[in-house]
Amino acid sequence: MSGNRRFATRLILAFALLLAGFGLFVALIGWQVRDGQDQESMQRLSYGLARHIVERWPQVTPGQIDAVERAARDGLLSMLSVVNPGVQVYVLDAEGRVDAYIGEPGMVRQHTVDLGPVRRFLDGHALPLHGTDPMGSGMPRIFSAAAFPKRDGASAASGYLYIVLDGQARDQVAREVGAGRLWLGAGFAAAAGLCMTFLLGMFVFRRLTRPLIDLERRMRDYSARGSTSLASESRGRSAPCDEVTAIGDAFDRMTNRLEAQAARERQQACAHREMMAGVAHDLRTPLTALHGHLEAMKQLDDAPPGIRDRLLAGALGQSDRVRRLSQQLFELVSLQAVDQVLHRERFCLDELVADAVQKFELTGQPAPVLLAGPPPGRLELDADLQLIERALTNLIHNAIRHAPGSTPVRVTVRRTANEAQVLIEDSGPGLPEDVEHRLNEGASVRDPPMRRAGGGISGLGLAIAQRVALMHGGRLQTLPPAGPGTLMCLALPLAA
Amino acid sequence: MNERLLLVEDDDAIVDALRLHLEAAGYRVHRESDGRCAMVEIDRQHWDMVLLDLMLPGADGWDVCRHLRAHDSGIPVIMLSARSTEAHRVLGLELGADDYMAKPFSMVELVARIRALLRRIDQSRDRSAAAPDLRFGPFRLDIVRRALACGDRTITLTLREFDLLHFMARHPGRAFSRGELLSKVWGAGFDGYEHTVNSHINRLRTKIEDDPREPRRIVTVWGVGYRFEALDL
Repeated sequence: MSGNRRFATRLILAFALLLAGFGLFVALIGWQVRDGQDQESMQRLSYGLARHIVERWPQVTPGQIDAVERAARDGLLSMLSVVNPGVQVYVLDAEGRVDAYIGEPGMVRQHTVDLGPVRRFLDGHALPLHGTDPMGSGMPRIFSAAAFPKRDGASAASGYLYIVLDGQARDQVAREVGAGRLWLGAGFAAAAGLCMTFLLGMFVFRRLTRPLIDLERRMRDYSARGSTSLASESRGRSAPCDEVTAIGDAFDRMTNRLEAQAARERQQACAHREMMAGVAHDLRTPLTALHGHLEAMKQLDDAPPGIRDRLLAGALGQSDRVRRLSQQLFELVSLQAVDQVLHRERFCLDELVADAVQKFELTGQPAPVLLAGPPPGRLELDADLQLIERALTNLIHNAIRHAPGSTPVRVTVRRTANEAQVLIEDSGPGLPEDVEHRLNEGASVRDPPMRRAGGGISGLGLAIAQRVALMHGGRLQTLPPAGPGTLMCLALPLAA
Repeated sequence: MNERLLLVEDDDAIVDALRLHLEAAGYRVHRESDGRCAMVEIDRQHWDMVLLDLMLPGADGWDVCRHLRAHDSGIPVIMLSARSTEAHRVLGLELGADDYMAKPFSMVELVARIRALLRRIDQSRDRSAAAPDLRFGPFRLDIVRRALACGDRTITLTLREFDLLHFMARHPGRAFSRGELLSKVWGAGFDGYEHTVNSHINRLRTKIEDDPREPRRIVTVWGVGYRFEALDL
């Protein structure tokens, strides 16, 4: 939990820092803009000041003037400085050199004023325009300027009246007045803003990170207890559809999948144990019998030939059972392997079925299996011939084994729209209910294994046939038989 | 009957049992347990048949069979394997073994198959000494060289495919059941013979039919078996 609190706090702090940075940035920009605006408005306001003075008071003039004129001029300029102490008034000659000014002697350090901005001012360029500060501050200054009338015969103005509008005196006052109050105000505003941000942020971020905290708790609980009960609890609550909710849902799905997989693995392990137990049982039975027969043969060394032959036949029969069983197990296991490859080739199912049926014909005896129905025509498959043949043989063999008697097994081949069907019908007692149910549901008849009453496993041949059908995109199912018995249907897709 | 068999098998218990059965049947058996030694033996002397396990130390059964086929294609080979799913590769063109037994197999059945295979080779050798070539359509079945030719082109046939084609071509127009073909061509007169005749017929069709999907030379008779048509014999 503390980890999440720290996360929320970190978020708030980061947000506050960003906000402070943003405020500082905005303040700087605002300062700049306000400064520019101030200067422009001041320059605009005092735009005609210099012109007004030149036009109204002709005594303000550059060049050689006598003492009376100088006194009058200086008086006038002093008055201007008194009326507005922020301005500094300079009289420039035609080249921009400072001809006269009011102030302490030696105040002027920059004796020549750049006339470029002055001319642009006179030509009516856009404001604000900055010019030289004769006091040598190096700062560009806004100004008002006017040209003195031309002297007789002169081509250029005789000089300029140059008034710096935001002189150093004004700077000084602004600094003294502004600094403390501004910083105090700004600091107060910033602190208040940060406090507000922090409090609001605590509230908002806590709300926003709550699903994350929930998720973290669920994950921790899951890894500690392996339970998803909390997950489903919190899912009941209505939450906004955001990424965190999506992650929560994904986590729920993942845990559900893990649980399902674990359950499946448990089931498979159980099925595997059952299978092994069944195989062991099925192997043990014929092996016990085989061993018994061999022991008997050893003990009855001089037994009459009749008994000896019977023992031998019994031993061979049992070893044959073991052989068949191991072969079927091997086949089934390799068919169930993930990387099982089908050796597909084109062949006709009708021919293969006829071959498989003929395989069971024994000379001199009534055939246990018959081909029934009309010729189906060419039923071409693109399939693994060996496996299909194995499936057919298993099905026919099963039918013969389970329905012994005089009625032969009937095998019919027919074509539907896009598949070939082999029907194997016997007159036996029918399949066990669970096997039939699994077949028709498309569920594996081997996984999980079905136990026989006797303790062994059952249906290896059927399982192989079913697996072969599924591997080829077909199916194995039962159909309702015309009479008593079983009607199996092996359906396989026809070649394109 | 004193045929010499080369048994290439690394499991002593199986070798002991096989030796008992084979020697009782009158064959002389030489055993090699290593693939490389088996190749040396194959190069060194003539064998009437090779019984070859697939999983061997040294070189495996595939290598030995390839070596044997490169050396002498006429020696019959029966493959023994614990993998029943490999029959396709073993019997197909890839290796061209003549027969295949998946473990666990019946030794009696193995002996019967060995006997049948050797007898067929004997018979065909006797027949081929005097028999003329068989012709059908553009094909010519060279009995002496045991090869099929189409014009100038030679078509590779396995021992079994040759026998099957030879038998059917000698009896055009007659339908044979699977059992008849097994007994006449394979010479197998026992139950539980697992090979599909259909699989061999299909492979043969890909070699002699213009369109194997619409076969005209080896046709099916529903419920009976296969018939060789004397189209242009």
